[in-house]
Amino acid sequence: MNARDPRARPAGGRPAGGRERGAAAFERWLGDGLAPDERDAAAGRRLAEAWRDRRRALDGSTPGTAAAARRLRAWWWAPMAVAAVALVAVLAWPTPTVVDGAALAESYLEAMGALPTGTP
Amino acid sequence: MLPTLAFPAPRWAFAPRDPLAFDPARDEDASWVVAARHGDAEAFDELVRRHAARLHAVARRLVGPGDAPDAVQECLMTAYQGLPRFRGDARFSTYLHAILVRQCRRKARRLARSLPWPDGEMASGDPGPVEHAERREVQRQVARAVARLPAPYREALVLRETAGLEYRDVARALGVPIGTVRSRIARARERLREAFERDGVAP
Repeated sequence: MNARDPRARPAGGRPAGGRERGAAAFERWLGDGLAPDERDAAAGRRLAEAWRDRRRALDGSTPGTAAAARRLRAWWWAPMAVAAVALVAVLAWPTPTVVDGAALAESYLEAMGALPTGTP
Repeated sequence: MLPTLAFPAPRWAFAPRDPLAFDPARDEDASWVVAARHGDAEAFDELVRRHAARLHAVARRLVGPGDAPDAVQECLMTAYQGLPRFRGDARFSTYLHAILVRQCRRKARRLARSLPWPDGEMASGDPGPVEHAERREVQRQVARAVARLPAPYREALVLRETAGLEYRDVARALGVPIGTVRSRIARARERLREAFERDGVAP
């Protein structure tokens, strides 16, 4: 390694000695050897595409139907809200009064003059 | 006059926040993770696109290039299915790498194959230009040396150096104390340094 290489120098700027050069060379060797490289990048792209296909197959859906299913899931509260409103309406509705059919008919006939008023 | 407190305040009332605790706001994947947890499968696809290359790099160094894609695919499937149980108390990359390490261990056991893997697999890929070929040679040397490390040392070192996880995230991924991670990485580096000096690969 070139002694002028800044990676081989300690922080003070003085050219490194043998031990320091060796340490810097080791760090560079290890860093180059362990860092992800272009093969990993290419494999990553392939894996991402393969994953997308696999996930769609797993979901049993195309992107369009997946989006529709997602929208449906996002509106899950709508039928719950309708059901709640309906329940409240049923409970709050006034109880219908019992109609006395005979009295109703009598008052109708009275109004039409078919019966004398005051008939028992 | 206000009465004085008869009892001291509990310690947690004044305890400073743990500086090493995970802060979800610092996770650049957080918004995608939230969307994926709410059923947005395409958000999970985006997370995969972000992490796949690094996962492959880690898997390649743990089980070899031949089995790395399978290990990553199985890791992604496990992560996708387990996403509702992900509590968000660690980085998403830590969650993925923890699953990947388990998959790699399982794969190594299933194949009943002792590492290191054959050199021929590590040399796969196009030779490329001269500088690439030199770098490829360094990678081959390091891969060979790393493959000879004991599995616990190799896992800790690769998660730190290749995946770029912090020490506490490596500890979470491996399920060991952070001191154990530090000592494993230090020992791994020491063994690699010996290999580096013994094999005469200094430039």
